[in-house]
Amino acid sequence: MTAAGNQDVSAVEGAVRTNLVHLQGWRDVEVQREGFMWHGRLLRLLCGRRPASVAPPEGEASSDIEYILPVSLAQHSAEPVTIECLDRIFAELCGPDTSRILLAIVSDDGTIVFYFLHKGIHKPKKN
Amino acid sequence: MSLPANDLEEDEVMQDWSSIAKLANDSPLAALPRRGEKDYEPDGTDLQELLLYRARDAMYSTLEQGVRGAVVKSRVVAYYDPQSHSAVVPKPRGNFLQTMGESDAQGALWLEFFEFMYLAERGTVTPCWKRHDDNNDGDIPLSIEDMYALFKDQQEMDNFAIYSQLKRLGFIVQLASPALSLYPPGLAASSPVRTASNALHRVLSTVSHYRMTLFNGFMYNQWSWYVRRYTSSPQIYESLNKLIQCAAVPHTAHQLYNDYSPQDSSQSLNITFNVWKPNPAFKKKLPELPDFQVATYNKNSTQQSFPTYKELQAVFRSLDYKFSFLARDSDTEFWDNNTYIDGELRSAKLEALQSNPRNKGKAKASKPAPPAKKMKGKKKQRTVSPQVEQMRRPKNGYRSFLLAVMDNGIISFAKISEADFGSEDVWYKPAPGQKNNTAKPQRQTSKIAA
Amino acid sequence: MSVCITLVGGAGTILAPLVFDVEAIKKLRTLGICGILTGTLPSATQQNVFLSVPLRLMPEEAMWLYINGHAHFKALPGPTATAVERLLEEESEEICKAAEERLQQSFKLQREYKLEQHRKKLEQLGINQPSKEDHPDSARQSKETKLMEASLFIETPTMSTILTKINDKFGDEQAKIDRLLCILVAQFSNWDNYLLFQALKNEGYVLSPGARFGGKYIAYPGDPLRFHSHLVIRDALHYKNEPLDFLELAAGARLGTTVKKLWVIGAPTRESDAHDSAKTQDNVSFYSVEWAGFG
Repeated sequence: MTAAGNQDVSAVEGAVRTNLVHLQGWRDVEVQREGFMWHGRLLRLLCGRRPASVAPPEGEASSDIEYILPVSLAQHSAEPVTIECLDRIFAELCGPDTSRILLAIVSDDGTIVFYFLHKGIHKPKKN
Repeated sequence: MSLPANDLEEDEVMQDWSSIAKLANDSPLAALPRRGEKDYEPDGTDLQELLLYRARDAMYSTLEQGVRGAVVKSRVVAYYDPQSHSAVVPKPRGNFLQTMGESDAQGALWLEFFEFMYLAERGTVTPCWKRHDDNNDGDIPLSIEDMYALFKDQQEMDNFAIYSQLKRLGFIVQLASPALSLYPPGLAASSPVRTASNALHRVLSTVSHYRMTLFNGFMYNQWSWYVRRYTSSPQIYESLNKLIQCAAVPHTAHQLYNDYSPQDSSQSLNITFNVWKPNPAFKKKLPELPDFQVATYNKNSTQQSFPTYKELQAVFRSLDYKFSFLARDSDTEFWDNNTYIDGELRSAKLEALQSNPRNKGKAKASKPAPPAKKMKGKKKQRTVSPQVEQMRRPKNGYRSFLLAVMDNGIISFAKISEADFGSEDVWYKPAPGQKNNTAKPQRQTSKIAA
Repeated sequence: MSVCITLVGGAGTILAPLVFDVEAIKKLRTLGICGILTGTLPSATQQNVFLSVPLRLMPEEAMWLYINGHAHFKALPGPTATAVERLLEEESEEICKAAEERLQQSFKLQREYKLEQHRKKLEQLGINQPSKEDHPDSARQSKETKLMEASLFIETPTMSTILTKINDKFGDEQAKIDRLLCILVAQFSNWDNYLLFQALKNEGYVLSPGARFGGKYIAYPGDPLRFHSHLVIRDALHYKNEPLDFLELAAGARLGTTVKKLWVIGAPTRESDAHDSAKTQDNVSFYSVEWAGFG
């Protein structure tokens, strides 16, 4: 993978970190050192502590640590995140008790949207 | 395309069969108190079990009691003819005659297969098999299951389901046919001269609508900016507007004529049905143009995929209904002079009907109708400000059709229309003679410009 | 006791499987197969909320019933009209006679019932009905009889008697049914979607077509009459080759949040051969997506 490509990846990671820390009030957000090679790029998660305003996963209020997967809306074909990729992320890059990761999608205008990816079939919030 | 918001909430409200069961029989079941809302998930309680049992029971008893058929006195028999895949009603009787089927010389009514199925399912006709031998043993009655097995392919079954859905809502539905058209018969002929001139016209109209792109290329290079100065805000938008290419969407009858191209069966998506709003004065032999048209689509079929731009274009160019942007619905004179039935103008056919001495009585009966229509038209005519009209135009679009999507039994309707954003000037234009105007209209239009 | 479903062949296609028997519909519902009712309800013909038989099944539902032994199938090769004509050439007399007998039987029961009702009503009003041996006003009686005869109901039966005769001739060889069901799934869905269906059914969900919510299926935690649906499931992705389309994911998850459902994506992990996998309960990897609530 080209140097430019690596730059893009770290730009995306940086954008997500900045957004979470300064806009969303997250603490201790850092890029993980561990990762695995995926289609020529080093795929790594971010890890951080969520603020109280973000609901914890149901039944697991013990820790406030969340794992974040930063991706770029425009480059989704260059860095393909398949179901197989997600399985590997959950198996290798998160703790064994992790039931969800936060997907951060960076679009080319700088805005970032966040979605939770729960492993397996989950239940929607009860009214 | 848009779906009404309340469509999504349908899921939340419980489908309460006990109210329908009341219609079928006066069962005390409906009198028992019921929970009006659904639960989140099964919780194993007896209460839930009971509510579930009751809900199911109401549904099952309605289904079991929903017998289809007719009373001897009002029974009308329809015979299915396998050779033509249609049905004949030798002694037609009933309201459905007003809007369905075609009479033959002997006074019998011929029904399309889907019309036959709809009436049989409803109980309006008794379905039987048409015998070609002269055997008079008696009728061979058909069951609902028999009739469903007679569909030739899945598309026919889906079309029937969509037909029934529209009929149950009260619409008048018929197969789309070139016999009823806005366009004069000569236009439809696909002679090479016609298509060539059509093609040429299309090219010219798109060029004129592209507003001289060659000229733009010359004028809009960076040096021209040194020369050009803008003195008012609208000038900026006007010159920018010249840069934008957009397709020419037909607004007038003339433009429609030039763009018309009848559909052919090789298209992947076709208009299947003509639909009219409920109308007690509907004339089966002299119909008005349909109020809208429906194309059917099976979402799950691997042999069909969502239409491409070209395929959609072909559908738009074949649309042939009462375009609302041409004239008001109540403008019967305009429509009668622009509707062709079997090649003849509707107005001519109506005149022939009235001048026929046998129909003098009928003509008199129909006279009171027009003045009543005019009254309605006047009442509805509320003048809206040009800004509101302008906001509505891109939203409503021009030519449009309904796409009926079949998903394993569930039907959804989406309206697909041609929107013309290109011809709308959505920036503020001060009225002539006014420069710094702080009157109300300015505030409204500045919203549009933003 | 397994349910019998007839597969009707069309021109190069298999028509959607339909169920006409209310008893069968009840049985299927207890198995968590609800289908969609598509016929006009005779007691309320001008509405679309409550519809009647036939019940239309998804190809996945038919396949699931077959694999799990809850339904057995019969094949009716198309075009049906030709088969019926041939049958009528041989058996029209019998069929007519049988139909006439059924009709007369129905009339007889109706007449008895109506006379009984009439008698009860008169009793209630305190009028004693003259016995049949008396000679009542014959003109009035024949008029009453005429009215009653005219009000007898002729039913259009739901279930077929003709098709069963044709079925018997063609039988239900397993290999044929196997192939027909596979064709049905291939023409109107695909095997991966079936695996998703099966995995969700194993978790206890009831599945319905999901077009209204922009997905392939919607999943209820129980009977749709009593419970809200929880999930909108997208068409199956390929485990290795199909990357997530983030724009589509965002759209699905946003819609899901608006209607209080989760957007679910899944892919069969293909650890074993595709066709055997149904029998060995192949693994499907699911992910549930929801808007995080911020950003």
